[in-house]
Amino acid sequence: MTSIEVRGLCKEFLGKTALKDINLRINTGEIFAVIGPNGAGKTTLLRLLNLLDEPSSGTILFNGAAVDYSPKKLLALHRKMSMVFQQTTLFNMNVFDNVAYGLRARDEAEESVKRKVTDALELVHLSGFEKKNALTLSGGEAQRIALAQVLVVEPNLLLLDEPTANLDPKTVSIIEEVLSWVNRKRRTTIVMATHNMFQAQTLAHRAALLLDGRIEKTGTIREIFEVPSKRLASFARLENVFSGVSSVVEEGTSLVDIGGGLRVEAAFTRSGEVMVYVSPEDIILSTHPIVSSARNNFKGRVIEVADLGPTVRLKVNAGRPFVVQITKRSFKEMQLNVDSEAFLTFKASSVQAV
Amino acid sequence: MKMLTRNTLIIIIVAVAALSGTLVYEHFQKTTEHMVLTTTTSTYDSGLLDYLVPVFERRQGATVNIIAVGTGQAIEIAKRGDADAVLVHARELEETFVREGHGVHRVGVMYNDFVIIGPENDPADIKGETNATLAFTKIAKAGAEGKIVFISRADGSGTNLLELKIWAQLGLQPSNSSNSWYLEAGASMGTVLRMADEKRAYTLTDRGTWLSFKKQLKNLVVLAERDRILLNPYGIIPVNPEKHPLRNFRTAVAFTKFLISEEGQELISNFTKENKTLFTPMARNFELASALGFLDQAFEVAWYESQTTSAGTGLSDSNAVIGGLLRAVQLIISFNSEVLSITLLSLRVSGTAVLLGSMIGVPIGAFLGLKAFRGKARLINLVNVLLRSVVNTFMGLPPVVVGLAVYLMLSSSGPLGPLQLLYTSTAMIIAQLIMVVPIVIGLTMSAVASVDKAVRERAVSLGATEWQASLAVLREARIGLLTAVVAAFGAAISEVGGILIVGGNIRWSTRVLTTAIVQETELGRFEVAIALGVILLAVAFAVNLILTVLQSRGVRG
Repeated sequence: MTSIEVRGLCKEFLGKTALKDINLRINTGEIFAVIGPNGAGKTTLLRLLNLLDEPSSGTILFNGAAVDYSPKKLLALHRKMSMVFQQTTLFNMNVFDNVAYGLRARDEAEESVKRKVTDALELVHLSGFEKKNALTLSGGEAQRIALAQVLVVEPNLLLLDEPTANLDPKTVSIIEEVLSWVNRKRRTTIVMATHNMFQAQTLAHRAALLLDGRIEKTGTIREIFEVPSKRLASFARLENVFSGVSSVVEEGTSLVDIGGGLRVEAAFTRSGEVMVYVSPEDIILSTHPIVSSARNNFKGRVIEVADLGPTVRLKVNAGRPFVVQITKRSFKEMQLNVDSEAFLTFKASSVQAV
Repeated sequence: MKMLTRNTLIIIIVAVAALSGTLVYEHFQKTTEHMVLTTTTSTYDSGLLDYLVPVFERRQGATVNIIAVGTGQAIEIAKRGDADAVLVHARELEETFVREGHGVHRVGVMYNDFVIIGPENDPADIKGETNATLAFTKIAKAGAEGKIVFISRADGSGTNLLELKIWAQLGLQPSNSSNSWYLEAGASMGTVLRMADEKRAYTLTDRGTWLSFKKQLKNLVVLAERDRILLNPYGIIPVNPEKHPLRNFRTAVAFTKFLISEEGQELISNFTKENKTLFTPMARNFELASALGFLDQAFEVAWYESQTTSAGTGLSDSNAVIGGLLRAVQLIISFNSEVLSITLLSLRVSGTAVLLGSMIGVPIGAFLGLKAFRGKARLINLVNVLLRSVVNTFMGLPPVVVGLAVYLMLSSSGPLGPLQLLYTSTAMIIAQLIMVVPIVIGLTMSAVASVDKAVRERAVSLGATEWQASLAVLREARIGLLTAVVAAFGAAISEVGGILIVGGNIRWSTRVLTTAIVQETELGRFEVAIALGVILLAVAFAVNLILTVLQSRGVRG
């Protein structure tokens, strides 16, 4: 329930400009994504919004009031917002005490602390973790605890710096669910930095593209995608995103020529230049061709294997490179390796236009 | 958590081992000979016994506890049966003691002597006089003529009694208000000597005190000496075993036999202070001994020689270390109040110093450490660097230097002299406190400064006040803080230089593990030294174990 206005914000570190003339308006109850490559200034911007650093020049206004950086005013503002950092630093205490920290700092009664912590842990699917030491948690669990830590204090403004970077898909989906729930139920304004375009697309109402400390473009995710794709491809997670020419074959179905001799069948009706996306989880990988209702079947070769813990991520070249995500168990059973022959299968409805 | 429990268990085991180390001494005392010797303060102050007794103890495997008091009291204690032998220099009292059946086999050991000193120009003309009585006659005559002054100690001391005895032999009673040449000082020998020097007066003094003051006395020389009446013979008397059957007669005899043995006698004649011999052995000079009041000297010496007093448990030098080791192991299964008191004092002194040191050092170190990563301005950084360097320098403060400084502060001429704290456990705590505070500050500072700055930011971001955020940082540094305290304790308990200077290693009051080890080693009582060493080692091991456990927890965290 906070609106933010940023006017002419600049930040310099040791004579180097990190942010230059940032102007933004983020509406109450909005999820706003800051998209940009590493080093673009996303973290710097979030730290300024979290009032951890003071800008070199420019003004931040919350609900129309300019920020006063005197300690007393700062504390009051800090208590209305909270931030999840990219590199999670949990306190060396048990999970319960970690999550309870913000509430206890506010001298909340222990009874309500207990209730709120229990609720927050349930929200991030970590009930029963109360007694565990926070420093023994896995990366995904730690990030969910960090989120719970922030949620218990019910901030009006939630800042997130790459909240799902390097996390397993299960954790990513839990975090994404929680974020949209909080935004819906509590009308919490959310500002998140990310370089995952599709996360931005799923969650955010609007976004700003930040390049080299400047805002390149502000608008809906669609509008951001209009920026020449080469520029985007240089940083954004654009796996399984292909630009091509679409032509309608019949009602509700189009064929998209994405180059490399590949024509993808998609469940939409569109013609001309399009950009399509296939989720890595939606692609079925097999060692032999399979017969099914799925409309897209391609043969390729494994060119890359990455171990993500419970899942394995493979890149398969079928004329164009596709990223596929499968469980470790399947990976082992299929005895796949780099240079193995593999078949890709996905439905026409898994092909999304962006 | 499982690992933690196991480590706790190990700590408990070590603590039990350390405690059982305090069971050391009793067994030792039960199996070794133990005797009490009473003697006079002046004998003890000469240092002779500290030089002789350890040799005997090592040879015999016995311990000799010495009680140094006035002559009369030394004999009284023995009469009550609280001592095994008396070593004094008062013929009449000694003879009465034997006659009344309290002691047996009185034997002469050695003598020192008295000299008559006076101004160099010697107006009384006694120079070279070997007859003390004659010299006194001349002094009285010159005094009556108003040519000289004689100073008497007039304090009832042995010296004073001898002086009065000589006057009495002359039929003189110089203590008389009309005798202006006879000054009754009522003071110690040293004072009287200084007075005599100022007034160019005559006086009677024991040779030991004379030798030690000689350099300061520009106007005085020895004028008459070597008369038999000026000799001061020392006798030793074992307490009568029939009267006091519980006393350790066997060791008393062994000790006496050692003193009058050829070896013992030679040791006595080799004992010097500032290159001067203080005592002349006489046990084997039967004629002289007899003339000095030991009428049965030849018989008694023969009697002692016939006694077998072989060392039952003593250690020869060659296997002292190995034997000591075995003995120490053996000793660590019994209890003793002295070792217990030494260990407890060590723990109390170092524990108190570390407790106080932590109360001072942790807040300062925490403040400096917190400032360190909040400091923005260059000036703050400069001050930080300077402060850190100072703290780091003081972390390596040599304990002896601290000891010296504290000594100078607390000695009676020092600024805190009136508090009378020197040679107390308080002084030791003060010295260790000064050593420990910089260690605690330094380690606390780096522990706090090494906490990720993200911890503070996370706390602030979660709505913590500055104070709450600082507390969060301190809590993250808690393992480092504990490490600081434990490390300081380890340094304190193993420190010896400072605590020795300000504590003085006084038995039952300021003797701690480290100083006791130094002393026992010097005395050649290796088994006790080793046993104490084992206790200290166990404590140090426990400390390091705690450190390691804490650090491994830190790494895991």
